[in-house]
Amino acid sequence: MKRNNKKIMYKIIIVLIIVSSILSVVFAALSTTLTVNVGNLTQIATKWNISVSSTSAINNYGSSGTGRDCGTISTSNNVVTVTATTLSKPGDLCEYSITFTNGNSTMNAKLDSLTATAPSGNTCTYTTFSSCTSGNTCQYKMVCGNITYTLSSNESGTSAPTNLASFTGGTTTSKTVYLRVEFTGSSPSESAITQTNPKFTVVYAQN
Amino acid sequence: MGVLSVMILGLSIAFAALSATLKINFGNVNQTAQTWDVQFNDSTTSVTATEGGTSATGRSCGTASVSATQVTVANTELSKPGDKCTWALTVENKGSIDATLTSITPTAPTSVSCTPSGASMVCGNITYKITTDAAGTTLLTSGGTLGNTTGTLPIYLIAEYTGDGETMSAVTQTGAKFTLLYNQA
Repeated sequence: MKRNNKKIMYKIIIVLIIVSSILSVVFAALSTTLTVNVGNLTQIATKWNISVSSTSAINNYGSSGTGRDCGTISTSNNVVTVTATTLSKPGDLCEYSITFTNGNSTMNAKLDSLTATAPSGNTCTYTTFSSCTSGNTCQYKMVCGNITYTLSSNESGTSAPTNLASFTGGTTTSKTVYLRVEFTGSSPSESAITQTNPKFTVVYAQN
Repeated sequence: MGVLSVMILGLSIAFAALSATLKINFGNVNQTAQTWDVQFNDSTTSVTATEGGTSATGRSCGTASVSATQVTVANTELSKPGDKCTWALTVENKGSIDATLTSITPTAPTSVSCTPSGASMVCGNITYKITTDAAGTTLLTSGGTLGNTTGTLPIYLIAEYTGDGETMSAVTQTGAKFTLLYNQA
């Protein structure tokens, strides 16, 4: 009897072990691995190089040289600087050419904004055009009392610099604009006036 | 001797009475038919990416080949800030057992140092990620349950040029991948 009980117990244990094993095998099989392979991802060499390639003074206008002295223009690290200029009577004008180049950029570029900044302490009126990124400042002329500052696509200063709107990547292209500083008031000032730090800021962005 | 025999016999009879047979009977043990089938929706075996960025210069999104358990993207180019490729995929549970996304494991491209974070890794100028929205703002996370039979999960594989500068020379990253492990819920 005792031996029979032991046999029964062994059988129960064996059955339980078999059942447990089956359950274990079934649980381990219920999983799936999903794989997302990206493959080769290449970054090709790119070049971004919109710059000022040259500047020059081209014209001094006015009836006489009295009270007119056009500063010299130079460029360094994409900053164009015109030294002190004197304009004192109607018709006095100093004009400069500025050439922008894309210098073998591989990427297209677009004119993102062109901002005219008034001389310190001066109130100016601005003329805009539409070649910049929508919603961004796009000014090419400002009139500040007797003095008008213009960035134009032609020497006569009558056209906005729409030629600056874009550069195509992959080819070297140059585009020239004309910076004009002109006494457009109707009469000379009775006292000396100095306007300080007027400027234009040209911003290009990748397109 | 006779008394001893009687005692031994008595003892033996007593011991033989002190036993019981225990039985454990199982009723019917039934196994209903079940299926386990979690996979990519491969009804469309190739997926074209949605491209993002400015100009197409230097950008080319490879086609993703889809099988039940593997997605493989062909050669891709991303070269300037903003370049982006988004592939729309779907995980589905066609089996009769609920499934849980147990883990998401990113694997960096060979010999590239990356900063992994769940379903995202930043490898130099390139960010790879898996999201649950096409815009790429919500990373896929583990723990979600995919219901049996009809459960589906749209996911988006995104590769994006997130560096802020240009690449001076061509660079290729190879072997980036994500591994998703589903277990029964």
